[in-house]
Amino acid sequence: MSLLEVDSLTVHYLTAKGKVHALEEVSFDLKKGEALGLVGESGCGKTTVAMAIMKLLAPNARVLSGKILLRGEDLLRKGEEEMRKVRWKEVSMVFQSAMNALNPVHRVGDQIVEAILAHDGSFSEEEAQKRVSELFALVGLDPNRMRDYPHQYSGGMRQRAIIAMALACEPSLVIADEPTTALDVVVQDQILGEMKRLQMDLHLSLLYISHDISIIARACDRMGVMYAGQLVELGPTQKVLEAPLHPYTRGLLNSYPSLRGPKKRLRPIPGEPPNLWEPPEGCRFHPRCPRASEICRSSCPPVVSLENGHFARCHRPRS
Amino acid sequence: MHHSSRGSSTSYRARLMWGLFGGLCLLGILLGPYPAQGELLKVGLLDEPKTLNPFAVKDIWAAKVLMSCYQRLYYRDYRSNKLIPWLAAGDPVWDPEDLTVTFRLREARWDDGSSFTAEDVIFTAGVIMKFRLPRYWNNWSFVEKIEALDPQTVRIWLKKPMAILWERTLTTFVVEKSKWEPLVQRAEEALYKALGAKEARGRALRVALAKPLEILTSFPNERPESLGPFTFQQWRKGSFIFLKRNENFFAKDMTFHGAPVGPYVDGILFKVFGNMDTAVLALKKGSIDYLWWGIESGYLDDLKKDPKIQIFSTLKSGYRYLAFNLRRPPLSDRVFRQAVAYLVDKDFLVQRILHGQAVTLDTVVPPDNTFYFNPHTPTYGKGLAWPERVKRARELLLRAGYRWAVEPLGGKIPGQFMTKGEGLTMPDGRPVKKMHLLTPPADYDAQRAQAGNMIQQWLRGFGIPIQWRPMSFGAMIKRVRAQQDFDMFVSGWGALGSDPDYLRSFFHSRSDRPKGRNSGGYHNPEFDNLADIQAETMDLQERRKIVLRLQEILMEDLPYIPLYVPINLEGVRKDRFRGWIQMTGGIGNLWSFLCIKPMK
Amino acid sequence: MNLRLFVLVRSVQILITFFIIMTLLFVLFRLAPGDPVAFLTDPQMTEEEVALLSQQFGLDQPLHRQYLLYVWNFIRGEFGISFYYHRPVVEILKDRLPKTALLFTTATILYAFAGITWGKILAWKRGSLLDTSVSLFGLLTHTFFLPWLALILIWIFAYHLGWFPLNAMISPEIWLDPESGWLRKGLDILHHMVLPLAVLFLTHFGGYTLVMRSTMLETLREDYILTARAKGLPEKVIRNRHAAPNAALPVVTSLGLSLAFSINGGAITETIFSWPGLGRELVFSVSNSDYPLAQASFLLIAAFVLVSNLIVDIIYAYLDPRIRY
Ligand SMILES: Nc1ncnc2c1ncn2[C@@H]1O[C@H](COP(=O)(O)OP(=O)(O)OP(=O)(O)O)[C@@H](O)[C@H]1O
Ligand SMILES: [Mg+2]
Repeated sequence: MSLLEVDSLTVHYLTAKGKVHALEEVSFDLKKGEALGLVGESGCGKTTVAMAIMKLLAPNARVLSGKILLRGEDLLRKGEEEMRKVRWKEVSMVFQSAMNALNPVHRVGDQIVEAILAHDGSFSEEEAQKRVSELFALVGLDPNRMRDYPHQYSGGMRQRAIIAMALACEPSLVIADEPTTALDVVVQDQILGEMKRLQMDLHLSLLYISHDISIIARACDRMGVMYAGQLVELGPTQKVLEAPLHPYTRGLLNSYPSLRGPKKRLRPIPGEPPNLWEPPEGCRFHPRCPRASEICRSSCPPVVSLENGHFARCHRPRS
Repeated sequence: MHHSSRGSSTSYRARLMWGLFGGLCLLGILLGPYPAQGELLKVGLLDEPKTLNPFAVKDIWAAKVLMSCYQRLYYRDYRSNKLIPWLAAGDPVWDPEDLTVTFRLREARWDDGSSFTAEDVIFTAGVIMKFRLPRYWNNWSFVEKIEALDPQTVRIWLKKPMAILWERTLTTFVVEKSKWEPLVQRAEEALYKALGAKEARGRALRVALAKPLEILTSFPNERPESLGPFTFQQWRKGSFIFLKRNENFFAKDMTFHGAPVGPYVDGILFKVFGNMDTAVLALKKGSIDYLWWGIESGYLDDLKKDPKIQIFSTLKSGYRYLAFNLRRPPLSDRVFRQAVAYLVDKDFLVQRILHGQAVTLDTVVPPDNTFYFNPHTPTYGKGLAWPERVKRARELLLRAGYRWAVEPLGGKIPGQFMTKGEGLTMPDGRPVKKMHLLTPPADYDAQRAQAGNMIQQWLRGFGIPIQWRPMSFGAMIKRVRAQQDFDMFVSGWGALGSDPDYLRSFFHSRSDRPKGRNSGGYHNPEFDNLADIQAETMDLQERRKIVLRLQEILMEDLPYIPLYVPINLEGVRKDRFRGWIQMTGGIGNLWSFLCIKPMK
Repeated sequence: MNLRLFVLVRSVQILITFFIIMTLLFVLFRLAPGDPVAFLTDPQMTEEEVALLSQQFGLDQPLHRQYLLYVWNFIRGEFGISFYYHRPVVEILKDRLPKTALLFTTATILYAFAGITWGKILAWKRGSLLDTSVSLFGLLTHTFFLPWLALILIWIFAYHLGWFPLNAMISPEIWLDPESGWLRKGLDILHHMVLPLAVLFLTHFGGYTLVMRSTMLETLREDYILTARAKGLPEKVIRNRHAAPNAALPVVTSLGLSLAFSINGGAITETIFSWPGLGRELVFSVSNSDYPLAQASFLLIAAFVLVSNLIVDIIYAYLDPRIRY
């Protein structure tokens, strides 16, 4: 059984300008110990997926349909208090904006201790402190700096601290929402390696969100590609990269410089991502799709599975 | 850090706070109202005494408290104008040949148990004379020396006869020598240090006296000694002052107009209020028995409705006046001032502005000073209708050679004109220039300000170009007194006392100098001469004649136009004490405190 | 910069500012209309006596001499002798300051505490009935005219219901009773404080509540609040430990200032409730041209403002670890 199963999740944001169709029928699953990557352009709904799982969507968000099953239990049906117990204990998260994710007026160590104590009554204060220093060591931070305040940390250190925090309650699933975006490349690399190692060592499930396909390529067993609120492709990383089914995935691959492979000319996808207030009829990608045909303009493509475990939402997937 | 407990402890604290607040409210209900204290007279004061040092006192609140402690040799009886022997035993004996006055003292004891002797009297006089104590020195400057003939007899030698001896010098308070001696010694040392053995006069003396005076007057005297009907017990700054009945009061066997003197109350509790609103509420509620001084007339209707409250209204010992700068034409012309006097309808002022809470005045001595008050001075337009007043004033000026381009014609009510006067010129043909009328601002004294406004209206219609200009009291006094730069102003005198020698200080040509009191620059040799004579006339009846004459002269020359005497409104609880004695200044006097009896 | 150096530097700044204020005060007072001698005299005094008085108070000296005297006296801690009280100014202030401090510090603590608490709760329950009603109430009482409110409260609770005393700080009946212990006297003062506190509370708490509410709303949008939620912390912990301290920072800043200004701004409250404090004295001394007393009170307030600013800075540094000197 999968640890996490997201089933046709549809989320809208209500705004003064109208409904934002942020997620449309998104489905995927995540097995224990597996790392799943989600990739997509800015604004395609990656964070919305993460927040929906944590049930921390903004107040103006509406979940129209779908299920989020964690070990078979639907999180969407849980009450606030039940959900509170799930958070961090079961699912923890590394936030996109590490800079502001730590409370500036409390010591970094204390903020982690707090999470431990809130979920595990068996810990004493001292034990929790000790655990934090272990966590610090684990993520490569000097335990002596536990008593520092966030502003005394560099960006990389903060990110590590947040990772330590995410691991504090030994969750089964960690959602990492662009954990390294704000960092320089060298640190990015270190952190990425660290995360990969921890995931392996601790046998974690990881939902790794990034707009950088190369990072996903390195960190994840499987990957999903999102476009304008839809999951357009999902499959084993290797397969998706080598034989993408969806034209968008292909475009995405072409627009990224390859780190190790032979140098190719970059070909950005023409056109703009659609606005989500009025997403295009039919396939949401059709205005930018080189292979768009009549059917693409009129009807929303179904999810098709071409090979085992490799899916795409396309009328004319490349086989 | 105990994070998890943080949240709940905050709300616990909040609950505690609210609980405390509720508890306080409950406490209030349980505590109040306070048990009534049987025979204490509770007096509301509008402000707190600034100092209880009798040598430095100048606010009325301190005077009210000290009245029951420091006693005087004689009191002036308001009915007969005779001196009532008080600390003195019997009338003073005047020897016109040697210029001495001799009197015996009563037996009395200070509240520390020591007896009152001639030494105390001589000591007090010595302090005043040696340090030229402001305000009192004037009453003693003509004294040659003062000596004890025996422990109970005092004789004063004068340099020259001086009428204020009776009502000022002999009514000086007395302090206890043994208590004040150390302080006075320090002041003397300071004086010696400044002067050495030299004799000094004038400015040199003034400079030398500064430090000793500071030593003397800055002593707060927070526990005044007492010879009087009450002894000083406690002063809680900003809250209350408590006096207890003096069981050894020397005058217990005396009577006051036939009634035996008490005191019949166990003590006096002075409560300090900052404002009239709560003081009036306190009177209505019974937290005080007597609101001493100056209830504003706005509260009158409300208080009159209360059956438990009695209102006393008494004329104040002072008056408001319109003054001229006699150095500037046309104000220098007596006829012009008389014409102005015709136009000032005092009755109308009193009715309109003071709502009847004042009486008009036609002389410069207030009427409560029955002995020296002259009811037959010249008046201007008294009782006449407005058109007639305008006519008389116009004719007066025309006869003196004044001319208008357009002559004024009075309308029906004061201030109205059928035709307004225009283009007034003086007898020499020059136009009457624009003048200013100064008054304090409305927030200082609304009535004076309104009077100024009204007078402006009357004079303007008549053709006198005058501009009313309210300014802060301090600024006005500076303009008038120090710079003598003014045309007319409305001001007042309060608490003038019974001795009329102030006339000399207000109008004698000697007082016409910067910062002098004769700021209008009035000069009249006849007045000067008579004023000097009255000051040295020891015989009261003879002096009275001169003082009456002085008032006639002044009312002909009109350096001032007296306007009205304000009324002092005071309130007492009817259900607490009876037997209040109303006299000049109101019911807050020593005799009231000596004579009132509890209702129960 | 470490904290000690910071305090030192700020202290020097404060001293300089204070000296400027001192000089300004001197000039302002001398420029004001009104002759102080006029207030000291009465009709019974002769001109010699008047001259003597002004000489005694140094008012006859040239202005620059007066200034030097003023500075020199200040350095010696001599604030001079009040024209009106004839007593050392220091003594008067020493008597008045604690009483003002008692009332206004208590009031400030109460309304700041209530304001912060309520602002926090309202922001948390934003849009609820509680939020609208309390915000409206706070806004309403905030705009009340203080003397009017005070008189209404006195009229209802002291005059009609008789729950509280009409005015004053103590009741003589209790303080004169030799059997009254300190507890009874203490309760008596508390009892007298209720109404003035209520007035100050009602007129001030709205402002603090609304400020706190809006900063709290802003804080709740911060990322670290999301983190706290994601960590599965209980609501109250998020509100009180994560949001409130950050939101309260600007409120604390305004607190120090308002405490200082309450001393003179409190004159009206003090007058209506016959509270024997400094504010009343200040107003009185100004209208009487009692230079030494007014000057000293203003200087005291200036010093108070400056020092409380320093204290607020230090508290701020303590509350907000980002601030280091
Ligand atoms: N609270 C909100 N109200 C209205 N619209 C929102 C809200 N939050 C997100 N959106 C919109 O929903 C869409 C998806 O947002 P989301 O944050 O999930 O994107 P994302 O893929 O995480 O982008 P990025 O890579 O920039 O983080 C965007 O178009 C965004 O503008
Ligand atoms: Mg995002």
